[in-house]
Amino acid sequence: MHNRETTFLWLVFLLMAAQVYNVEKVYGQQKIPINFGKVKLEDFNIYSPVIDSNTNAVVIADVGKTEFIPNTNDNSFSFVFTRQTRIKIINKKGFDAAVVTIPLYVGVDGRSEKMERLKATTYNIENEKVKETDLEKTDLFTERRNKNLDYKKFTFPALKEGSIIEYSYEVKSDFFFNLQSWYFQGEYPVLWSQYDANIPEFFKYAILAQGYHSFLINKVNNYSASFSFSGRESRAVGDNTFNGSRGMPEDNSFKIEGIVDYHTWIMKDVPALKPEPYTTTVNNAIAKIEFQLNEVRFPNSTPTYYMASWEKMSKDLWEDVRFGAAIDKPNNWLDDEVKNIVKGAVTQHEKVQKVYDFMQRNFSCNLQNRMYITDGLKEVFKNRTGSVADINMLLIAMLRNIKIDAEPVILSTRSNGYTHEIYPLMDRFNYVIAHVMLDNSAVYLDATEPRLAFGKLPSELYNGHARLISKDRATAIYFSSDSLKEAGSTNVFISNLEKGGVQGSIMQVLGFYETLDLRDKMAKTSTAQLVKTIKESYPEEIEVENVTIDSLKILDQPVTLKYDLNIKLFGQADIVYFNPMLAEAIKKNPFAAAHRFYPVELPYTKDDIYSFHMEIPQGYKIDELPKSVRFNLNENEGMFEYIISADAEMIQMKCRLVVRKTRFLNDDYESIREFYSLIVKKQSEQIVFKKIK
Amino acid sequence: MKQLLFILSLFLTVSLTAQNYSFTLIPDSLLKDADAVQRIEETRINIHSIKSATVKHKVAYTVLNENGNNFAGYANLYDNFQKLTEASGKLFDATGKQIKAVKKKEMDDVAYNDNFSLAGDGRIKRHNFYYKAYPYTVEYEEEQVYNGIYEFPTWQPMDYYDFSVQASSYIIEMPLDYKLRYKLINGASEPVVTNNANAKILTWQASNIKPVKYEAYQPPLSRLMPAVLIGPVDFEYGGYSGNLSTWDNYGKYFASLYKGRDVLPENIKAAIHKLVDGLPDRDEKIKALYSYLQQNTHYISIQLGIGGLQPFDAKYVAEKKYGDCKALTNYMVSILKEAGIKAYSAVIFGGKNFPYVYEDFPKHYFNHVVTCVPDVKDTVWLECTSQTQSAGYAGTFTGNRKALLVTEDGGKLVNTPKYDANNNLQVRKITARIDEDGNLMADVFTHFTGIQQELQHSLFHDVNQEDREKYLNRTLNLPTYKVEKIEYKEIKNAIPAMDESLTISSPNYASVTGKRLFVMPNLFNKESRLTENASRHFDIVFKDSYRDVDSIFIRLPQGYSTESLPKDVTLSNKFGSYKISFKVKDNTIEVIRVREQQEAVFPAAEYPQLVAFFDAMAKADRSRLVLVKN
Repeated sequence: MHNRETTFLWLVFLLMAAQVYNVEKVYGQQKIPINFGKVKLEDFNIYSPVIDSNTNAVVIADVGKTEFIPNTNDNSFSFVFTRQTRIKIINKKGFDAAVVTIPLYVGVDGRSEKMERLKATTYNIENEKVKETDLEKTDLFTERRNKNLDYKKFTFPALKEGSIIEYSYEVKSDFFFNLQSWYFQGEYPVLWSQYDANIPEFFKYAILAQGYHSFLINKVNNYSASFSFSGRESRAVGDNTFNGSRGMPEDNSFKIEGIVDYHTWIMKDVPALKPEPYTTTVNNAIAKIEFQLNEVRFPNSTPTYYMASWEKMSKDLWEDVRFGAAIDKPNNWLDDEVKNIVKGAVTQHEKVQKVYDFMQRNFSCNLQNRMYITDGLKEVFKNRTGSVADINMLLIAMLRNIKIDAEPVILSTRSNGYTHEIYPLMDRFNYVIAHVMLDNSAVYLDATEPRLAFGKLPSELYNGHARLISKDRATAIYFSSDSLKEAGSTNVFISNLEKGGVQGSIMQVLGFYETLDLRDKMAKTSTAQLVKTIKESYPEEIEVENVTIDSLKILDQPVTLKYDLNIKLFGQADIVYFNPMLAEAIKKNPFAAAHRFYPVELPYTKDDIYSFHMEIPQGYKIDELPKSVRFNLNENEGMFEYIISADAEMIQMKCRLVVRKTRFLNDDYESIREFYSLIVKKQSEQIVFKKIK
Repeated sequence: MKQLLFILSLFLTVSLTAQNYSFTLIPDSLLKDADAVQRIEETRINIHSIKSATVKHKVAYTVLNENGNNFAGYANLYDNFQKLTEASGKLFDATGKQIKAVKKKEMDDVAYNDNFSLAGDGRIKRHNFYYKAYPYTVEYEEEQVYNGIYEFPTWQPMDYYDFSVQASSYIIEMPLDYKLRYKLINGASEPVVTNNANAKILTWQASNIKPVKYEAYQPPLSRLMPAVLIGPVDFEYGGYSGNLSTWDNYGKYFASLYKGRDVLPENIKAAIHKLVDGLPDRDEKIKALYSYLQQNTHYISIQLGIGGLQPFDAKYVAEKKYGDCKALTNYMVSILKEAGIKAYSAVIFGGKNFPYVYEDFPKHYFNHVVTCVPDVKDTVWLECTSQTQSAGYAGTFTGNRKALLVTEDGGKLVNTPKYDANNNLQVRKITARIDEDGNLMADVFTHFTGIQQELQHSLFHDVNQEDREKYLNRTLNLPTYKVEKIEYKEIKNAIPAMDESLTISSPNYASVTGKRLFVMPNLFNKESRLTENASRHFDIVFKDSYRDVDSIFIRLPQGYSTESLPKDVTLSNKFGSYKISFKVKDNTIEVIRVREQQEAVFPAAEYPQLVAFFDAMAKADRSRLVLVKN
């Protein structure tokens, strides 16, 4: 289950950080290529390799800066984020780029980030001159999005195709954990994206970069600075107050000194982000920089830690009432309940199974992916409903209540993006499952899926790095989608009836995830609907009869579909064309697009076997059979075979599709596309029967 | 106090009996084919004056399965005219035991985001218990205070599919001198009327309504299910008073909202005269001015206060170069007026699924405003929120329905243009060749007009090349293929047209088995089979008329002869006509296909014939030609 591929992006960043000084030498001083606030006629002509016929708007320059400043009057720091952006609207489809939304964080006490100095101007060419139209104050709107978020919104006046728009603003904040992330990439191509951050040594951040586009500049310089404060009575807000070296006693003013790291990140000609099928989430691909607050440490003050090692994190988590503390306590209110549930169970395995079944049968998940418990486990037990964390932590608590050492595993779902192996960045995690050792092997349980077999997990959870949280340590474990094998089989027998006519029978054993999908679907629809869907997949000359579905409710068994075919093609016709794949052929290449920008990420590996036995219909002979073939995907990453043979009475065919890998880099895209294209072609071939005259 | 007691006694019977939400109290007839059962719904409107009312609403649903979950959530859109004063919810298990409750302040409160408005003062209060142990019951109660009224909620007890109603009631209490209008539709009954010293009370009730299953091509439920439309006579909204007893009067209300908002700045006036003074006729002028509007403004929705009904003035749009439908239309009307052309704002419903307008019952059936330039024989409609629409084309967004013209003499209900099969064409010519490996190269030229060009119009104007390719890759259902070229040409007109030229390659389109080649020559235009209904309940409605003509020529590789040629099919009946013919001539497959349908309504009993008709077309459209190597 080991897969370290997810970490490669981070490595790229670390390597680049090491080369900082080299880079600087090579590029010399890089300057923002435009003057904000001054738009000349020639600025309307823009050329760049990332602008093409698909470009509706282009970000000419997007420049942000975060600076920490002392609040002289109340002995605290704030930071000021400034942003200047110039965009060219190429056509009407790019008008959306002229609607700007600025999010402002609102704290629990109602204090919020403040936006100031907003300036927004539209530049148009009129009579060979540049005409400026400014945004008016009354056209700026504020929206209370929710209790933690305000939006400032505006759109540019006098907008036309070809307009250049430019805006700038400042946001003042003392929510240090909310140091602005910087996205170098977005819906429109960006010609110049620059982010500077001046971070005094008192604030320690982990800086995380990701993406497939490289930096033009990525450097850090430092200088020493001195910050002055009045020393008057400070408002006691959070951790942002401190004592410094005192000045004169009568005025209480003081200074603190420290080193300031001056970071600069620049990307040039960043192409627009394009969503593609078979990617877990575009969040993993977007070029961005994020900041995670590690600690705040002022001179002569006790440091406050925000993020620590995995070890420290596991300790904190274990003590958190919304996490470890809730399962570590005895939870005696569960005693009678659990005793009842496991009644009759002898082995450890039976007990765990009983508790899991109980949870699955009686609890419903509200589909909110969470890592922390919402209220309390008692509430969850009473309400029979809750988030992912509520349900799986209750499962763990119940197991621990009967002295089974269940522990939580935290992870991030595929659509939520990767987690970080080195830094314990808790906001990346959005899911928790249970870990139990049974007969010396690890079993992982997710009780939120009502139709999931014991010991299995949804494919959405196979997203690489995860952490097993114990009382004193956090152990890295890996859920690799390569370890998931989806195996299905189909058997077809076609024979002549004594009374005349041709009859077929089909038995299909679905793969694990196909089974899960079908169970979920059947919970919402009727058997009649399924039968109808099967019937509609055949042409009218082949009638579907006697459809049965086995093991729909037996969760640890795959579903088996059986049905009969009344084949009415033979008898009259002189020539009959018959595809031995019946309704099972792959008719469309899943990789239709000719080009690909990001890796292909499949949910699981695959092994599908289709076997076909057919008695040659009475009165007919074979005129033509498809040829047998076998080919591989790359060297050994996949295989397709189609083996067919016939004698005087019978036709035998076996078709097998194997895909052994789930992640294909762009370089392999052409080969996987071609692989499927050949499969589609082969599976469309026909057997030709001729009437014996 | 007496009055209060009276109201209470009226309610006691309804409330107390329904308060028990045990699953076992639902009759079997309401459970069959239902995903959820509405246990009770009470809407109680207390009208205080022409501009103020209190609306209490209580509803409880028993959710029977996963599909029923969408009934379980609560959401209420409110603003300053309709304040939400109370809201609460309760969750009950199958036995009717309460397991959870939620108060107003515990519910989520977010800004209403319609995904296209820049600003608005609408907010949404919402909540969900996210319970999943079926069956369970949710009950929500809310109270809204109207400060300004121009409409009341319609009472239509049955308004969803796969859903049944155990009890529903609608009660209006109003001062004795208040004038209320109502209209009973689809067989709804008269209310029970009671009077007391101070108030008049109207009560409607319904119970035990069985589920309805959706049927293909059926009329909307609002045209089938009993309902009561309710409206004021005199009203006041946003400080403007009006009268809704006639369309004429309702138009006058709008006129008062629009009054004095048509003053243009001098520079715009000058620009207009420069543009049109030299033009010879009215038609040219309208086109030039509409194009001026399209090039110089765009759509931005801002809905604050009475801004929901009243436009920003012409000067605002002239300066900002943006506005919503009302503001842009008002600006367009002002521009036309400056050019000496009479035009009106027309209040309308924009969208494909528009409500039926009962001419004898004036009401706000609308959500949109367009420009109407009236003429005895050549009335022109202008969609001012679009930068790309042809002048005069209303299409599926605003065509074939009623609109209320806001004229200086009051409101006038008029019809917008309707499009027949000759207007809605898709004429396609495919010239293709297939090689020995079955690879297909095809040039596809299609001329679309009217309603049939709307998709291509939007592919041309609203998305980029990549998205077009993605769209075509999804739509043209070929196994593996690539669009080598896409070109569009737009022909602007009151019946606009789009010419689309595609070059497509599809490897292995024809399947090759040994010496044979299998070709499905009808590449794209295929009818699908209809779902069979053992018993059809509702009429069959064809909303649109259209005609498709396909001519397909596929050149074959040398040295093949035809082994199997599909039969020609000609069908013509009351549902429409269909004709397809196949031949091979000069080593080329030739297919001609003509399909026509007319807007019409047919009785439910004819559904089996319709299914047979579609089956026959679906089969013929998928006919396969087999060639064998000589």
